[in-house]
Amino acid sequence: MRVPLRWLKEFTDGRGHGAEDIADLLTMAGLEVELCEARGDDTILELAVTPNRPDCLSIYGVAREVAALCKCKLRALPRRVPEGDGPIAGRVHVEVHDTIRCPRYAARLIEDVTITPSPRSVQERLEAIGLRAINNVVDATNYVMWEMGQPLHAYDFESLRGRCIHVRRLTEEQPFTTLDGIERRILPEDLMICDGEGPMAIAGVMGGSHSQVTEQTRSIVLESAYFAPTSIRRTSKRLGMTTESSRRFERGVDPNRMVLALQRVTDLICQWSGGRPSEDWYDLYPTPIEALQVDFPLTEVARLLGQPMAATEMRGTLGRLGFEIEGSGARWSVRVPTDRPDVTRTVDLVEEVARIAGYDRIPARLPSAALQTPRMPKGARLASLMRHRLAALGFYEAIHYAFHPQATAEQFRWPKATHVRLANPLGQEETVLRSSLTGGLVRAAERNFRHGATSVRFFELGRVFTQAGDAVAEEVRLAGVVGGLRHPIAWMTDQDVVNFFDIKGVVEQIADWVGLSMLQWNAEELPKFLHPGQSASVSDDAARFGYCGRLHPHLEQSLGLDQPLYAFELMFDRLASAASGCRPQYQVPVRHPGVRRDVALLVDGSIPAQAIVEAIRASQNRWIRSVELFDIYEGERLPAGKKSLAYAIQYLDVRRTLTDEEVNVAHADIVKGLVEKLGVEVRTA
Amino acid sequence: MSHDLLGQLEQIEHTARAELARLAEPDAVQAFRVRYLGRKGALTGILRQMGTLTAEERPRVGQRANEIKTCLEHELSRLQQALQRQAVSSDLADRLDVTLPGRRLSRLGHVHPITAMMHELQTIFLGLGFSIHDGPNVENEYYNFEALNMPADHPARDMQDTFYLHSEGTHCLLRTHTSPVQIRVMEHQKPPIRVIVPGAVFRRDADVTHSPMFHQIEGLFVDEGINFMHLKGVLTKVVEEIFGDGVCARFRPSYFPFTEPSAEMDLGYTKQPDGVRLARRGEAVSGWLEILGCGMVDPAVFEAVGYDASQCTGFAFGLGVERIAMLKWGIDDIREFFESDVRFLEQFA
Repeated sequence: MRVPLRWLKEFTDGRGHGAEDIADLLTMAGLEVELCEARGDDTILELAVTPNRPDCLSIYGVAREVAALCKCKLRALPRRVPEGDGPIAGRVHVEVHDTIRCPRYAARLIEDVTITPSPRSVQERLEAIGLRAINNVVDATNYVMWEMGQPLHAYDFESLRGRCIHVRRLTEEQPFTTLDGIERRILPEDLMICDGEGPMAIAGVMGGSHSQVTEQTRSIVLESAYFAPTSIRRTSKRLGMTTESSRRFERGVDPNRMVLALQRVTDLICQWSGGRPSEDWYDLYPTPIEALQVDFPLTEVARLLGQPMAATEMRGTLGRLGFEIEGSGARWSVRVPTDRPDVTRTVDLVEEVARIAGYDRIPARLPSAALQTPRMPKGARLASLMRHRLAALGFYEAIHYAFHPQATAEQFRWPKATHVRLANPLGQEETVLRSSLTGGLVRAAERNFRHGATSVRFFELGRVFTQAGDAVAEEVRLAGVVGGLRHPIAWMTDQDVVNFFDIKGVVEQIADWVGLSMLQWNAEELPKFLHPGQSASVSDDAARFGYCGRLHPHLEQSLGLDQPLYAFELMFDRLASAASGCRPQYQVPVRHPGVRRDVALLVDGSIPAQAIVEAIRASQNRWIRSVELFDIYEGERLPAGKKSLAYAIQYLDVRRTLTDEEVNVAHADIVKGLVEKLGVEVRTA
Repeated sequence: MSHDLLGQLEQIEHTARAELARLAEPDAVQAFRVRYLGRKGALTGILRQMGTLTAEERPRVGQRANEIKTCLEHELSRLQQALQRQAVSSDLADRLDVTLPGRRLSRLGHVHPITAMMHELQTIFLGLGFSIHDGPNVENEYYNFEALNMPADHPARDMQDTFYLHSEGTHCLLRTHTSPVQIRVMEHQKPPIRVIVPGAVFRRDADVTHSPMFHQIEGLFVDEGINFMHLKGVLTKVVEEIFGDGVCARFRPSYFPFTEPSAEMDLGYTKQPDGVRLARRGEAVSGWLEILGCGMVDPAVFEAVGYDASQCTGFAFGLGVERIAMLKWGIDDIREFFESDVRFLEQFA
């Protein structure tokens, strides 16, 4: 809302305050002045008016605020009623068919107008507030709207078919071309202003070209109405058109200022265009809207603000804002002006007195409260721990948008059946909520490679979304990507690139941190964006909880990656519940040393390493403390299709030191079992 | 007989001394000790044969054997010390270029600046006794709007341009603020309530200062006797914790459908030749930046959750985490947070 200071000062002198001071006062009273712009010898204040304050979409309303803030006089709105000739009734017929959507409708006829440009000073004022000057009639309606907050409309009387106006809804859907030349689809729920044959205007939003005031116009019918805010809002919202008029109607104009505005605009038009108004006017107002009476126990001020305020000050403030106070003592009854639809309850009155006094007047105090131990959501502590540990492992945390273009979803072949799509995405692009964190992370990795990174490590802890029946299921995931060099470039370090076992190592480490053990790795239920032969699903004894592996080579290619990229994604809730059940179990440390025996096995290439460890564990030897694979060899020195795996087995009895002989026997037994069960051969050094 | 053994002893001593002179390695010293002085060593071998001697012969052979043993042990320990000294000095001769870079297992990564900021804020609120709650990102209109005093067709809905989801039946949307969690908390809990709700929120808006997804920390403090002074007290304290004691803050009336009276909190900044920075108290302020919205909980909200507004009062606030982080670190494009450029992220490590 643009407010020229000179126009404002027609209503209040603001105790002589300059533009900056007034801007500051308004801002600190809840009417933020975003800009103070010098224009000629005037200053324009640009106000960001919050949607609860339709009254401040007028110069008069803003002036009332200034007067209250400066504790000075406010000039009343012009009340001149121009005299005219002949009753309106015989010349034009007005009828309201929907009094719910249009509780009040007023109209007056002016004949013999001469359409010219409006006076120079008026044109300048309209330009200053950002409106285009059109002609003396249209300009007058805009001028009065700005001044009093009441949108007005002028119809060309000659083009009124049947010399009548019907405020009604259409019986069926119908196209209608608005003033801006765009054809709109009108539904039976929209309120229309019609003449004897059809629509002339979308009520409160925009007129049509058919009944528009043009240079040929001789006579006009002026409309000043109160339309129900909800009705206007629905129509303007659906049609995607917000006009100065609809903006005011949907927030609520003053139903009791309308006729005043009608007289004011009639007066201006007669001055500027020389027309003759009808001697009377229509004012269809079957059920008058009464001013609200609000109970105001003064103790509420201290209860909400923390301290009381002097009754005289509150009386002054409310009075200057147009409220009428009845009663005295500690309980008032306050009559709210009908242009303040935002004030309906005691608490609203408290806000009025507080904001005019200024929030600075209220001191800051820390409350006293009973001690309590703060609660955290499930998984919050683990989330924080994970983040810091992964960071220590060289991962940067990423935060990505929860939605992706449809193209990403297709590229990553996310299951389409459970997609959640945005109904109104930001751009033209079809947009879906992410059902996996990997997409965002992979794209981040790709961008960083493109910017010259030699190694990337990212993780994200975030939500994914899937359609589950009628509802949208949200799940928290922990995911990461690694690619490029394993170690920072350094003089004593090999410049190796990462492989599957790096990403698997990260997953194993995470599982260790939350106490998940006995992990199973297999190729079941892998997402389609992973390499089917270099990826694995991971489960514990209960269920699958994630996957890790290399991106599908197709995907790597389509992303333009020139090196493999590895990703993991885990269900965070599983990690959190594992962690919550994971308590340290103290055992007395075994003071004597264990005994290590190594064995190198020549194994058929098709036997997974896990099978050997399981076979060793299956021997049930209670001395086995750990089994570590410490070397693996495949190559020329071995028969084709064979690999050599070397294990270190640690033997320990908690009660005593084992003798070499005992361990030898046990170890030989285990090796023999492997040979028999898996058909492996023992390699001798 | 003794003659034989004595002869052998002399022989052993002779070869042992010759060998001793050639010993240069700690391993060889150990092997020598085993060979001559060990349980199965040469000298022990002689002593084992003492049984074959007469009573007169025994002392002579025994004495000689012990002489040789003592002598060898003495020589051996001298040699061992010499070797140790030698080892230390040759160790000392080995010089490293200590200016070479050290070995690191990995580069250190870092948590996201938004996470770091959230964490800092959460720590402050936990210290003030606030609990942390969380809630769904996909909401329905009831929690996101209606229960917060924004019925259908309310113009205030335009203040937050909303992403809706394609779904059958009920209108699902991405929450436009963390405030729906206020309702969820109050539905399940009676006053006193002291909670914060950190999380992602979504609005259909994108430019340098607006991101379609950003983060908020919602706060709610409801009890008997809570008033606007307390709102100012708590939020001032929090802002001082983040930006330092002298920070210049003001509360300006504003409008939110779910609070009444409502306010926005601004921080003053000052323009210096080297750029814009937050003003300290007492300094001239060149402008104000809004950092959060707040207010006393609207009675309509209490009504929606079945609280008695004549009994309890409360305040609520919603703080933009990106906004605070941008102010604190001087970041001027909000989109940086979501682009995962390591050159950006590593600056907060």
